[in-house]
Amino acid sequence: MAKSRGKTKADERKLLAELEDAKSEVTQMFEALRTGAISEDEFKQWWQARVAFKGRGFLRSMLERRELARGWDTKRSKSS
Amino acid sequence: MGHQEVKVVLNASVFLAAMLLDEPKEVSDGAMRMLLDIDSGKVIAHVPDRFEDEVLGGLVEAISKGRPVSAIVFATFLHFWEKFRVHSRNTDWRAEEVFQAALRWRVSYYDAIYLVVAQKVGATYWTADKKLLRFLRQHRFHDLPASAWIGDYR
Repeated sequence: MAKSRGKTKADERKLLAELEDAKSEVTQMFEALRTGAISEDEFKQWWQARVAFKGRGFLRSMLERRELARGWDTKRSKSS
Repeated sequence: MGHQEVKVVLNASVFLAAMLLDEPKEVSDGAMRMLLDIDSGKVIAHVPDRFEDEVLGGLVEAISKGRPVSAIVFATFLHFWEKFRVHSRNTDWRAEEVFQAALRWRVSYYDAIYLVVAQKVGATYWTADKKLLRFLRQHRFHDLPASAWIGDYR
């Protein structure tokens, strides 16, 4: 039990350290773009490699849930 | 001569669109252009407090489904959250007015929060939701704020 609590604490610390590193990387990259230290293309390459992720259909399913929340007649809204 | 502040209200779908590799290029490019303009201070972004739930809820869902979301994504959210002007319930918008607006404009309560904030601050509402925009344009409610599709952001 105590061992597992210790492991959880260690995991939490690792996650927090990872987040701190990530925050400083993000700040540095936006700063570099603003000051012209890197080009917009270089920034976009970093974004694609480090920030963006694959999520096929993710946005579509989110928007479909919004549509349901509107109580729209799906058939009618599709044809409109 | 004072310069006019460019104000936008962005939907959570816009922020997420910038993060997704599989979205059509016009959508992710538009979303990225907007984020860069917000970062540089070229435009002022207003969001309701609900925006945070939407984006972070979406990211938790993505991680739970095994998507490769890294700490950088959360850090990027925090970076922008500090730049946004966040509008809070009971301080900047009230449930009653959003409820009435949702019924008047025939949209969801969620949509109405964003639209009411845009109306209050005099901003254009930007979303990735084409169906919503088509609906709003067809119905031409007289008191709606300007709204636009993120793929058209230049």
